[in-house]
This record gives sequence, C-alpha cells and structure tokens, in this order.
Amino acid sequence: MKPDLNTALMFCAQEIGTLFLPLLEKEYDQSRLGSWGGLMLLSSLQIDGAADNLNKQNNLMMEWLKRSKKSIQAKNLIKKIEECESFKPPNIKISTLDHFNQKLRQIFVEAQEDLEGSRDLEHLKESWIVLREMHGHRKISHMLDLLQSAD
Amino acid sequence: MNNEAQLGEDFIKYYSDLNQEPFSLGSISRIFGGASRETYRLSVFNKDLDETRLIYRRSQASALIETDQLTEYSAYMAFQNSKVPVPKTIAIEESADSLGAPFIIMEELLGEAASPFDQAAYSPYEEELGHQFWNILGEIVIKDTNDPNLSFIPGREFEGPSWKRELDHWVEVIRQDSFGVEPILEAAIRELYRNPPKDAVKKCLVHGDYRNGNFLSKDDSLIGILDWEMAHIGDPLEDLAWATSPIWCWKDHNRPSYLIQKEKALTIWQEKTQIKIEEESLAWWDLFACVKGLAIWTSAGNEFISGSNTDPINLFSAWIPGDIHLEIILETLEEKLIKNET
Repeated sequence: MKPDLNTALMFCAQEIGTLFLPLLEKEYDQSRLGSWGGLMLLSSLQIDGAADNLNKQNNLMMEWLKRSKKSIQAKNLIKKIEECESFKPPNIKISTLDHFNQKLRQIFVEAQEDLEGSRDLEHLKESWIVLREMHGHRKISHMLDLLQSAD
Repeated sequence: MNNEAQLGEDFIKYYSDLNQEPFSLGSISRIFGGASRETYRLSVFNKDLDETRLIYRRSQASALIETDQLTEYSAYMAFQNSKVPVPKTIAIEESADSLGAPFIIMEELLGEAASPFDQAAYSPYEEELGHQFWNILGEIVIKDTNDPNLSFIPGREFEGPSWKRELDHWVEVIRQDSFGVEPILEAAIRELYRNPPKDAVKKCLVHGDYRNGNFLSKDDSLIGILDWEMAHIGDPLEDLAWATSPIWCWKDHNRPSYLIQKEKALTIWQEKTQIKIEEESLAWWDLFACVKGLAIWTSAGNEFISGSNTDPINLFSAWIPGDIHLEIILETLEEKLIKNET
C-alpha cells in the first residue's frame, strides 16, 4: 500500500512550517508561505471525504426534489427533476459529482422559489433541513482554530 | 535587483521629486493581508537623516473588488485632524504613469492591526477600545457629507433608496464572479428583495468595511481607522450591521468585533448619532451584510480560481468566511420560517 495523498499533503504542510518558513527573511514572504502551509494542512484533512460529501449532498437534494415534485407548479421544472432522477453518473470522480451537484443546486433554487410562490411551508421547511445538512457536509469553518494555530 | 528593491528605487525618486529635496531609502517591505491593494511600509531619510515612515498603497493589476484609489484618499482627507483618527495623507496618483500603477501615500501610524478572528486580540483593553470604536462610527455617521473632500465618494448621485443601490451592486458582483450555485445565498437575496427595509433616516458617509482588523490600536487607544476603499454615501445602518455581524465575533456573538457587549455598543451609537434604531430595518441590513460578505468572498474565490491573483488570502476568504456567512444566513432564515409558521 502506497502512502495516501492526504498523508503526503500533511507532511508537506508540516515541512513548510518547520523547515522552509524559518529560512525566509521577509515578513510578507513568511506570512504568505505560512498561510499556504495552513491551507494545505486543511486540504489534507478534507481530501479523503470530498467525494463522499458531494455524494451525500447530491442524494439529499435528489430525495427532497422527488418528495417535493408533486407540489411544484412549473412543468419545465418537473421535467428537469425527472431528468436528474434518471441520470446515472458515469464515475465517482470529484469533478463528475461536483458537476451533478451544481446542476442539482440550480434546480433546488428554482424549486424553492416555486414553493415560496405557493407558500408550501411543509416542503420549504424540509428544504432548509436539507440545506443545513448539506452545509454540514461541506463547511470547513470549524477548522478555523486549526488554521490559526498553524500560523 | 528584485521587484521590491526596484519599486523602492522608483518610489524614492518619485518622493524626492514630490518634496523637491533628495531622500534616501531606509527600507521597504510588503505588508501581508488585504487582497485589494499591495501595501508597503517604507522608511525614508532626508539629507539631515531625519526618518519618515510611510505607507504606500498600490492598486493590484487584479483587484478583489474594483475600487477607486480616490475614494479611499478622499475619506482620509475628509477626516484629517478630526475625531476620526486616520493617517496623514501625502499624495495620490490616479494614473499608472509614475510608478506603474495608481497609488496613495500616507504617513505610517505606529499601531497594531489584529486578525478579525482572534477573540483575544484587544485584551485587556476591550472596554476602552470598544467605547472609542463605537463612538468613532457615530462620528462617521454625523460627518457633514457636503464636505468638499467627499464630493468624489460614490452613491451621492443615487436618488433611490440606499438599500437598493447596495443590494443591486453586490448581487451584480455575485452574478459576475460566481463559479457555482449557492441555494442558501440565493434564498437570502430573494428574501432581501421581497422585504426591503424602511428608507434611511438620513444619508450619510458609510465606511463600507468597518470592523475589527480594519483599525490600528496602541494599548488602550484606537489610533487609526483604515481601509476606506469601499466608502460610499448610504444608510447609517449599513456600517452598524456590518460591524456587529457575528462573523466578526464568531466565538462570542454578543461582543461585536470582540470589544464590548452588543447592547452597550448600540447604546453608544444611538447616543452619538441621535438615531433611534428601527429593529426590522437593522435586521434587513444584518442579512444584507451576509450577502455583501459572500459577494466579497465569491470575488476572492474567482480571483483564485481564474489564476489572476493566487494570493492564499483569496483562498482563505473563499473557504472560511464564506462558510461562516452561509451559516449566519441559515440561522436567520430558519428562524424566520419558524416565525411564519406560528
């Protein structure tokens, strides 16, 4: 078994901070390289779960769109949802999942807008639960402390 | 000769011509942070070896948010020797002819700038600095906008409601710079257009980025308000909502900008401005602050992704503050939905 990409990134971030940073004389260069080190450390912690996070987001949106479809008025929008229902990603590359994620997000926005028009509070409330959960899968702001300590 | 040394040499020639006496360069160093301008700290000496410390702010070839050097310089000019502490202005060049890019020069204020995410940054002087911070914001609100120095500040000509000018502007930035779709942000934009605030009690000078991290302090004294590049004429509640936004006190939401308690801050502001805060309008500006913030972070992400400015601060801005503003919108709109249900 070869070392993982995330492990390599983590050691690289550590070396930036401990080995290369002290060699720089200018404060600006030190701060800039230090920031790169911190952001690389953060990336190393995120990279392993990136595809899984996207997949979970996509499933959450798809399930909500399916449930809400019966309450949506716009026929064109219903058609777009049905197209997504029958879509099978050709692979599980991050770029493929992200492309589908963006498509679903656009439809999600249109669906929310439609339901706001009809004041369908039940499905709207569900949509915010979905958005909250999606945000949880994607956010990295909770790692702010780690980033500050790496500076 | 490296770029910085060359820049120092070109600068000293310009500065000597400006003062019509020879100066020599002691040092030049770039300051990290802030992606809209390249900022340098310089030490220069006259023929008697008297030292002057300067700040040289130069437009980036690619700027995070397109702003005019004149806007920032005008605001500094308007507050020279006033209750709003600002650096002493020296020169502005709006063309790229002299040093390759537009720039402003000011005297350096010897104080500390803190990270807006450091909750202990102002310890143990939070109380003293807090009183000054909110009183100074009040001074900005009561500043006479007919001051000739402010004649170039944007927004003066706009006859409609301030909220619309600002919201249209930042939504346009989002439309231009977004690489993806963010349903949380889109919901906030719809909500803001659907339920606009009351008209501004008065139109005043708005700093545009008034918060911790954008002022200098020395022990218990606030010695300089900086970063006026987004200044404009608008609604006094805009700066208030921006400065009290939870993003600037993420670990202690009731202590905006990590200074004094929010309630006390609002009291100081109301006493100084003699404006009674209309809560629903302030709530609108609170949500607007998130949309404006996300426009700025989106723009930073765009600079990074497109390769036009790969400063890591642009990556950080798109990742961390962007997440925080989305979370604030989530909390706000979830709460609003629950209220609508009951």
